[in-house]
Amino acid sequence: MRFAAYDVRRAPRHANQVKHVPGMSEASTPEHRPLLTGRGRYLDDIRPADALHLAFVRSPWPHARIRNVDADRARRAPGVAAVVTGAELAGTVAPIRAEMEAGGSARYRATDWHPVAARTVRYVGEIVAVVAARDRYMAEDASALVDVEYEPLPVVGDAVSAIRGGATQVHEHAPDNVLFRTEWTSGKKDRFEQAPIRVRFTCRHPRVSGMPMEACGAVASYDRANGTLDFSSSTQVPHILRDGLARCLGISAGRIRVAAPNVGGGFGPKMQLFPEEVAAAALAVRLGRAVKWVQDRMEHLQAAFHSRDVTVEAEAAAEADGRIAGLRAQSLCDVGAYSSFPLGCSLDPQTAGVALPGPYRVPYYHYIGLAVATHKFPTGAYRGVGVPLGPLVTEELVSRIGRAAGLDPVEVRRRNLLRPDELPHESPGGSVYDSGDYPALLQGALGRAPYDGWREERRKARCGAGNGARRRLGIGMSCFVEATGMNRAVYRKRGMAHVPAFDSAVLRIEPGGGVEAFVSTPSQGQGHHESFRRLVGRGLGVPEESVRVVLGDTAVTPYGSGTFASRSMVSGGGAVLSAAAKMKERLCAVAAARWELDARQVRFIIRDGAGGVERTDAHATTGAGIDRMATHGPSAKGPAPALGSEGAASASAGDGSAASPRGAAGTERLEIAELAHLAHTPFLPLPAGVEPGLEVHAAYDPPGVPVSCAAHVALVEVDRLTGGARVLRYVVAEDCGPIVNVAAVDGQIRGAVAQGIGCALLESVDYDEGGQHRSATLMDYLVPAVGDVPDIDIVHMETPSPFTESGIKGMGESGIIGAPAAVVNAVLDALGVSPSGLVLPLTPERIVALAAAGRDPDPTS
Amino acid sequence: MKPAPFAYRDPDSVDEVLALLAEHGDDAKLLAGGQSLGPMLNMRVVSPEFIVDLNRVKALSRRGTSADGGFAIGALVRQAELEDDPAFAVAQPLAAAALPWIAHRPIRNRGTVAGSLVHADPAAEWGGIILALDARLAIRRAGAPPREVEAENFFTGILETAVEAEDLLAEIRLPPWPDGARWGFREFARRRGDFALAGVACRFEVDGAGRCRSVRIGLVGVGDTAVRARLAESVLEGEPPGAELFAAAAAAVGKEVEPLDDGHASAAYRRHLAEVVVADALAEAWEQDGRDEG
Ligand SMILES: Cc1cc2nc3c(=O)[nH]c(=O)nc-3n(C[C@H](O)[C@H](O)[C@H](O)COP(=O)(O)OP(=O)(O)OC[C@H]3O[C@@H](n4cnc5c(N)ncnc54)[C@H](O)[C@@H]3O)c2cc1C
Repeated sequence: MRFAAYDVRRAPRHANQVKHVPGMSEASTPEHRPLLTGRGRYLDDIRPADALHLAFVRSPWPHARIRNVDADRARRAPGVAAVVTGAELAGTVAPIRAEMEAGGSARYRATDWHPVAARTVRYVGEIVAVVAARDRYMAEDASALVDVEYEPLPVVGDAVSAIRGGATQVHEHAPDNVLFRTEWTSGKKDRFEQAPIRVRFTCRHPRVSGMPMEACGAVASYDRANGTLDFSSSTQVPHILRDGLARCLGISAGRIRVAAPNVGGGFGPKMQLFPEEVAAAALAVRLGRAVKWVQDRMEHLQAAFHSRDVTVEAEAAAEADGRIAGLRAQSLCDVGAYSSFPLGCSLDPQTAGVALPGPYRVPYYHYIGLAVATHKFPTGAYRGVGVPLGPLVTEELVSRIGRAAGLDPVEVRRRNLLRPDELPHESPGGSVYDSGDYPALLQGALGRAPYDGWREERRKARCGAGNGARRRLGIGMSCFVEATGMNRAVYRKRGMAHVPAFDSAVLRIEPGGGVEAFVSTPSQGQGHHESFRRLVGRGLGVPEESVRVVLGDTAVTPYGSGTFASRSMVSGGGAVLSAAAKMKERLCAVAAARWELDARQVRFIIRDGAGGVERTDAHATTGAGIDRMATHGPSAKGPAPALGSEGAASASAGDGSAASPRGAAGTERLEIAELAHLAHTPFLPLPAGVEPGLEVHAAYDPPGVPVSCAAHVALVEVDRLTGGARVLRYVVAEDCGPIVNVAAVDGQIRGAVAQGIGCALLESVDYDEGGQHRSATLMDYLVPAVGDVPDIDIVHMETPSPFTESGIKGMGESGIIGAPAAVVNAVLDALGVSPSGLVLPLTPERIVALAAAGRDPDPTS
Repeated sequence: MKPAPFAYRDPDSVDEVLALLAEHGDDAKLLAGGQSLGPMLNMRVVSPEFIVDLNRVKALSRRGTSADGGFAIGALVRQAELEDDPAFAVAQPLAAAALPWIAHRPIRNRGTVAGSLVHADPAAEWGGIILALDARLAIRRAGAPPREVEAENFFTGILETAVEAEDLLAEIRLPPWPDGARWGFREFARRRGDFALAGVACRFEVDGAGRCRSVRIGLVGVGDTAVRARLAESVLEGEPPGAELFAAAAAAVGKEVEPLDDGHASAAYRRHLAEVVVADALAEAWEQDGRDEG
């Protein structure tokens, strides 16, 4: 079904139609109420009576051979049930290993990451023994008694030294420490080489941590009688986790149930398989007792998947009029000691490469991406993955091109942004940009700011009496696109072997008419229950309150990828809509049976928000009145639930309705509740081929990849003496297609922009050159607090993607993709500097150093 | 992040507290607001055998004007109590102005002034405050007469003070506020509520001849302990205040401090910041135009 309100054949909305939906009253969703009032049930709330609690003995050395592990004293400590070493586990547990099918020029080396190291440790915090005891206190007491003898080995502390000739090897099979390499070229080089303007910029994004409020953890219990493992985890990806556990434990996935309770934020780290999870599962099997591990914040900082740690070196060329002639870039991604499961270490180099050309016309592109092993904790996904590197680097390059061509930052962007009439456009990064109006988004953001007002404030600050030298304002902008809901074709191209890349939904209408929806993309607080309820409610024409959404439990939810990479509303939502379409067919079949008609003589219609099936035999004279939905598959046009924020509950009935107004002579109608009853009674005979009951399953591989787009502008104040930077104002103009739930979209954007401000100004997981981890607590790793995040003004445009039935585009990561660039560019603008390289975060100390190199800005601009 | 096992006592009199400290000394830790001790226990940075909880000792919660007209702060007085006390703001404007910069309100709700001073984080605001105010610290020990330590002798080394294992810091005594004294408080932290990378509490008077007198500059965050900027004080003392003099004082601060390099900032940057906050605080004090707060 295509949503009539968003027929893509109609022109997308343009600048003058940019529409702001002020903080909709739907803000507090029912899903959030129990969470906000303390009635959520998180991992630590799962309390099996006899559970053993785990503590991990971790290596203090970044690289060492394990000579001996003496656990005798620990085993005799009070409350200890078991202490298990790597050597003991090695026979029964396979290492964590992410496979890839690297195509083209790409080269990949998988690594074996033993959940408990037996011979060699490769990062500070690597597990060398597991203690299971009556409570966590005892487990920690005993873990201090495990005596490990190490032989320290030389350390590779960062990616640059890792690829230097003669560097220590992290893995024997990777002599150059390169675990992944890819190289892409598109377009012709000559224009790039002859272009008169040449600009360069190098930027290092810090190693950061997703830092969900709830850290990770697992509760495992093994039923020896049935040979089944019950595994709760604070995970984003129950099915992938189950597959991963099955691989490591050597038991069939069908014998494992993975359930995610309420999850207090995911952001990416919770989609990787943790060695602790494998160890917990293995111990549960081994000991036949429930085993519980709740990661504390120090463990989380040290050993929950870090991300980024990427340096991009780039060079762009442009014509004299500021038009981009080409882009050349190389990324160096420090992925730590192992390639993590399921995505593998190619994640950042691949996604940074996709993102660098951005929403611009880039006729020539050459990219090399490297993932390099070092003696640090492995990296994994974090909201945005390598994509924020795109705007971080490219936006600065574009501004520099503008300066070289004598163009205002807005004008140089206008000249280079792809226009709607150029879409769909195959970007040299490999994505096909489908929809949206990039110049209009920039215009929308600038208009909302308003840009002229900001410029005036900036001018005043520059020549303000007395403080002109000290307090400066800067304006930063960031235009970008985000490929979302990536389908099987994308993961096939990326070569990532452990992501199914589709999602599924099961819909069931019970005899009383209530609807249950089981979806493979769980929620970590994004409001999926609410959004899916709305999709089902509007798709089937049932009250949203009558829909129960069940997520995150492999025992009941159908197979799928899970929640990451802005895929839930595209892929999970697509599955829900696809299942709803099948459900309508089933309802039609039941109605037809009731009326003893052919299925083609009935049709599903939503009237006043209520779904029902009506007979059309009396009117079926022209054929035009026959709804194709009943005969075609899920992609046929059906009654159209309006998804638009303003269209809320209007029952747009699709093209069939006009031909068959309610109450027309001869029309009979069965409401969903009546059909639900009929489908479940033995009294209604059903023709062959019509199944009783009302339960449908749909697996969904998005037919194309919707690419959402946005423009961010930031006004930042910098104190040149202290180096303090404060984001004063922030505007986002975004287009994620038809919005299902404005409150959810706005919440996602605001949270992600806050995280992006953190990446730009505050956050960094630090290791010293010797490989020691230095970000032990939240006093070392600074996340943005409420005072660091301004109000964020949001402008929505809704251009549906032509690639999917719903037109919905994902947006979960959008905020963090654009924000670091907007903030960094604003700081550079405030200081009037164009450094050749930049290391983030822009700490006050770094800002003071930049200010010292600053030129005096033109006070009139 | 679970503490190692410990025994717990919660006496309700000062004498019992002192007796327990005398008995267990090094093996015991006093628990006041727990805002520093709690995390240290959880991280197993400390694992005392005994925790002696002060929270039932009512006598330690007193605060108010003392006989000499100064302000006395008992060991259990929470930072937030002072923050909310209008009488404190009148009696001690400098300390009152600094309070909102200490951590966050929930931490100030429980955290005590005494706990902060004994914990002696070199960036803790109270270190600079007691130095700027010439405070005296009343210390008790079983079997010994109560003793008073001058602020400038209180900090003895990194995270070390004149309060020894058997001691209770019973009271913080702020002398009466001098009429017409001017003061400034400035700090710079990466985020509001974080420990300052550099901070300063300063106070001076201006005599009839228009010259700076009784100059006190207490710096935090720029060394092992809170320190007085004696060189800068001497630059100011006896000179007529003004922008140029303040700049000279700030430059003197840059010469005399010995900041540490750490994960948050380099020594050079902290030194630079010390100069900036001192110049700002002195200017702030001067702009007060001799408001009479005493
Ligand atoms: C996130 C965070 C941010 C913070 N930021 C700041 C900041 O910006 N500035 C700042 O100054 N502080 C900051 N703090 C520390 C806070 O102010 C603490 O409250 C204070 O340092 C300790 O006070 P307390 O009462 O909690 O002491 P406790 O934690 O109970 O005790 C601290 C130490 O003092 C000892 N002790 C306590 N009372 C006495 C006594 N009467 N006699 C002898 N020994 C005693 C204890 O044995 C222990 O060793 C922060 C704390 C946190 C958690």
